[in-house]
Amino acid sequence: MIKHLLKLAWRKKTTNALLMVEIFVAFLVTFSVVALSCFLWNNHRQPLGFEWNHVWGVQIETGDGRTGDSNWQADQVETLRHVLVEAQRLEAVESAAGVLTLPFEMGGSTRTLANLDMQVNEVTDDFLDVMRLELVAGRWFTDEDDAKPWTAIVIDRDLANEAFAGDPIGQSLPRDPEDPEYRVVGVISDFREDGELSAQSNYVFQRKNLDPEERLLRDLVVRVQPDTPAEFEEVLVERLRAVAPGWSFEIRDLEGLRRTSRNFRLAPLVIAGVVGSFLLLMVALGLIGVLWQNVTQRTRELGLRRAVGAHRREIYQQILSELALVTTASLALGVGLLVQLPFLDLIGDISRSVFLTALVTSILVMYSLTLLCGLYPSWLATRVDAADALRSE
Amino acid sequence: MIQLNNVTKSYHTERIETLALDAVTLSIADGEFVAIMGPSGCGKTTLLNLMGLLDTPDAGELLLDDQSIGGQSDRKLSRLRNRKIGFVFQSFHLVQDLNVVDNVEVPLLYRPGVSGRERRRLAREALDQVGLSSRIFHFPNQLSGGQQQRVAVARAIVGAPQILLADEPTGNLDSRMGDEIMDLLKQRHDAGSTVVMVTHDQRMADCADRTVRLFDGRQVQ
Ligand SMILES: Nc1ncnc2c1ncn2[C@@H]1O[C@H](COP(=O)(O)OP(=O)(O)OP(=O)(O)O)[C@@H](O)[C@H]1O
Ligand SMILES: [Mg+2]
Repeated sequence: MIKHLLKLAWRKKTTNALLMVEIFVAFLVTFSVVALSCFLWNNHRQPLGFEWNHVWGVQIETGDGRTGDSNWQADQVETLRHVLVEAQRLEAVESAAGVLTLPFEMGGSTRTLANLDMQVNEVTDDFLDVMRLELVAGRWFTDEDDAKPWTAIVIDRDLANEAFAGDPIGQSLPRDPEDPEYRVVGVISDFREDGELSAQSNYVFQRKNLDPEERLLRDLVVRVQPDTPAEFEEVLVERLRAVAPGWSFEIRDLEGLRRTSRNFRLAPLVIAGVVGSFLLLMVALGLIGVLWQNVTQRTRELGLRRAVGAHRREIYQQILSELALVTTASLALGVGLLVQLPFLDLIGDISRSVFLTALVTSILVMYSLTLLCGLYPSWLATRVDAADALRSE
Repeated sequence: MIQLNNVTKSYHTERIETLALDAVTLSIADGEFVAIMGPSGCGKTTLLNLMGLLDTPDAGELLLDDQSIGGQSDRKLSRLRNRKIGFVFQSFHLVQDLNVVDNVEVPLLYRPGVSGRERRRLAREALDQVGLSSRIFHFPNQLSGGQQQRVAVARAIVGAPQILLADEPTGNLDSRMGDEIMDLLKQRHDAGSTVVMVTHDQRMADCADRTVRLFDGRQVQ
């Protein structure tokens, strides 16, 4: 029977080619949307590596018109020290640290060393406590890192695995001889500063020891007691202003930053999802139309088949099988094209498992969609009355 | 073999009711060759469709091999059609997208347990019998009307049914081609098949053992 249906399909190749193009395009679109969802979902399931609840960001404005890349003045370093001490002194504050880029801020700096891409951030020693990072090897920054000829860094597990064969503690990141040395003192589980939906990436914390030679830290992170009311914001700003005359402080809501970064990452999915659903709907309607027309054009053939012994169920199955054949052919083309992507290295961050999940899911979606579209036309085909269909005109 | 008792059939279309068959009682014996004649619209095709289980009577009873057909499921009726009945139509009704031998194989697709190879063998045999073995890979539109009707006859006999139902099988053919088809039907009759043929042509009807005449849905004489 399959062979019989294949022959029929081959004879109707023009109609079927059109169907195939529709199904093929719908498949590619479905795959993209599903792959993007799988990718984001997979990211979402990974631990963030830090706790952002009850952490407030505080943006510092030194009031002298300096930009983020300018270096510190000695008195400014001193003021910042006072600010940090003052913040920690408050009853409602558990800990406070200085940081170059706030979590979720989406403005982190990146660096590439020996073909390794990494995100880099600069933090003071209390950052571990404020963000509740998970140290998995070595130690966090301490005073003993002061006045060393190298800069202490803490890296995440991914980078440790990628950059170093053995124990990374005490090793330096690859560098040119004239570049400063960055020496690993500890390893943390992860730090996904771009939020839950971002892909895994290599991360480096560089110790900031508040040296006048270095560029400004413009943000603080402050962990407050869980039941701290919002009014405490004003108290905090007030107290910080008192020790840093002329500076201004603005509370940055991490929750808000997190929402923005999440929306930023969800937007492509929402757009692709809406466009994709619309396209699938159009394809589905088109498919129903073509199949319907196909059945009405074939009433004589269907009547003849009924007359020579096909029962309703066999007619139903025949129409659905023909559709399944066309779908299979289109999907085979689609899969053939898509499996080239990993080889061509065109899909970047998407892992093999996400790729396979998306592939299988979109195949199932396409089969369900086409068969769903085929149900009504197939049922219509079983309603063909042989006596009517075969009556000579 | 085929027995109709008081069979009535009517069609309803927008307020008009057509009584196509009115209490027809008819018995056709095993191996008989029966011609059905009558003016256009008198119910010949309707009668043939009922005998071929393509339609069911509104009233009355139809028996096939002493078995009542009333109330059988679609599946059962389809199986019966497949095993016992072969159809030949005035306008051939070949599947245009299948070549000759594939067309002839179609009835066997719906017979469980026939392998592809067996189908092909039987189809070739049937085409041999109608004298078309040299054209098995042609498509219907590459054949003359007479040839197409011969393919249709091959399709009707490929499953070796006991009954052949032919509705004006020569109606679309010139007389020479018509005679060829008639010869094929006579051959089947000689081989023991029951043949029921609708025709407008007295010459054709003369070949039959018996002629049934219909007028306005009733059997006359
Ligand atoms: N599906 C139908 N719907 C409505 N009326 C029908 C239908 N089929 C047949 N009829 C009517 O039933 C009557 C008998 O039709 P039937 O086709 O049996 O006649 P026929 O003897 O075969 O005629 P012909 O020689 O023209 O083929 C006709 O009046 C016809 O119009
Ligand atoms: Mg007729």
